[in-house]
Amino acid sequence: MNNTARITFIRNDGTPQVIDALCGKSLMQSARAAAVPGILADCGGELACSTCHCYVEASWMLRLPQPSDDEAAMLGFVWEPRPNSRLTCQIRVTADLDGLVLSVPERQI
Amino acid sequence: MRETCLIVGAGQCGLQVAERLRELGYRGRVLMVGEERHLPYQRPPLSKRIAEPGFRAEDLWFRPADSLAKSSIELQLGVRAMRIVRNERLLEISDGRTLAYDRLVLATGARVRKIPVPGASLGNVLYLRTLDEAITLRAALLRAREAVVIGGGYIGLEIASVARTAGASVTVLEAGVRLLGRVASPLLSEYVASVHRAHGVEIVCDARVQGFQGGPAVEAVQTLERRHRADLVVVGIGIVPNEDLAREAGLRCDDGIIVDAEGRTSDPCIHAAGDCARSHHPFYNASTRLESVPGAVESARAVAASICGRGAQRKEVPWFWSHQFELRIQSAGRWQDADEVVLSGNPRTHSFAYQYCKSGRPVGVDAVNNPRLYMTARRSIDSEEPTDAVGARSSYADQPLSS
Repeated sequence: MNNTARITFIRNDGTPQVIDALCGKSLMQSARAAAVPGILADCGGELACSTCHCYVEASWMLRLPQPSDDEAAMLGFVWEPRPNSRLTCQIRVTADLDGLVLSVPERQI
Repeated sequence: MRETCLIVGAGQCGLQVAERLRELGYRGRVLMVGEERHLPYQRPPLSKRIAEPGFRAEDLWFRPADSLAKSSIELQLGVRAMRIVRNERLLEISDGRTLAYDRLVLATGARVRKIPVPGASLGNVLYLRTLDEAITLRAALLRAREAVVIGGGYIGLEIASVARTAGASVTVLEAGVRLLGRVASPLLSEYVASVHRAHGVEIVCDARVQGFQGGPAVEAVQTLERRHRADLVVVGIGIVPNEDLAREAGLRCDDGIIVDAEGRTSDPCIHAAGDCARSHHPFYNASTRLESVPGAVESARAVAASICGRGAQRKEVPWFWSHQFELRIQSAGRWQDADEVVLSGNPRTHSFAYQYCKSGRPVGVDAVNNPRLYMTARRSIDSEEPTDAVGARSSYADQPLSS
């Protein structure tokens, strides 16, 4: 029942794409499975490529666990980093994330 | 009639071609054929995470089948491409059917190099390339007490790390004078060897494997110098590009299918990408066949762009990653060209980077547990602005190398 969380990606063209993300998996995995445009995730979640970057809606920033030092380091090099930048491969989906909204950046690299 | 793009190979490269074609608005039919029975999956975790509890094959899939169908990507699994009939633009496949194409993309990948010694077909002498092989290896690893890994490249060392973590005694037999001889600098290979030794892995370089003994399962590995007891042997001595299909069709091949900057073979209707393809790389200024996920993804996107008439894409500096024990290794560029090495951080703390420079300009980096140093260096290598190199270097604490 509560093994998915409803998560919205705002695509580049402004249209929302709602996905049911699997709890216990990374958000990137569910975004990739749903083919959200712009989530490339070339390295498959190894924290090696930073091509699953998204902007988390401001109201959600404090509700997510803080990025690790390694994620923060990689975020310094994404295309147009912002304070609400995150790598979706490092966000583990829980039922608490139901309703989360993120924007896909214009490009990844 | 609608054009058909037929992709041979349903790995990460083939899937990336298909997805990119759709992103670029390709309106034709996209059909992938794959020999393995699995949906397109990620290969890198096979050598890194197979012994983890809860490892599930489905977790490696990129997308479930219905998601591919939504993008109008058709998939035929469990069939082998047998022959290309170029003058009729047809592909014969192993179930007896013939598929017509307007565009053919060869993303056939590579296969493991087999070890040509007596006893190589004994039980528990294993290779690792596919998910099925990984499932077999996982079961064997969880039972193994004495594992011998043949080949001290990234795959061999990742498997050594996994086997040791799972509790087996592990010996790595490397034919060359040092680990990672084909890919990493002597500095990095010495460091990696020291970490493996600290974890109790025995490393033997200059090892000449003569054969395997036992029966039905392997019991020992015989080298020129001595006999190593083993209840599991994993061979990781490199891969060979799958170019036979192309070669038999008369396409130019030379340790890889020869392609131009857009991924076109010597037949204008046929492209190739990924591990099976060889092309001129501007960074190396040489004909190159990359064996890496970033290389596969980049060449796949270039092929899709070419098919959609977008022309050649800029190639990035080649990069790689590996996980062994507590090490996250990230590499980019070429250490071979360097006339100077700059060390940042400290190998004793297991967080550092070697940056390789030529005439003061960064040309390569090996970083361990330090994505910040890695990304800074990679950015400066990739930059076409020579001033960036100076900026990156001045921010480094230069330290002379003691060895």
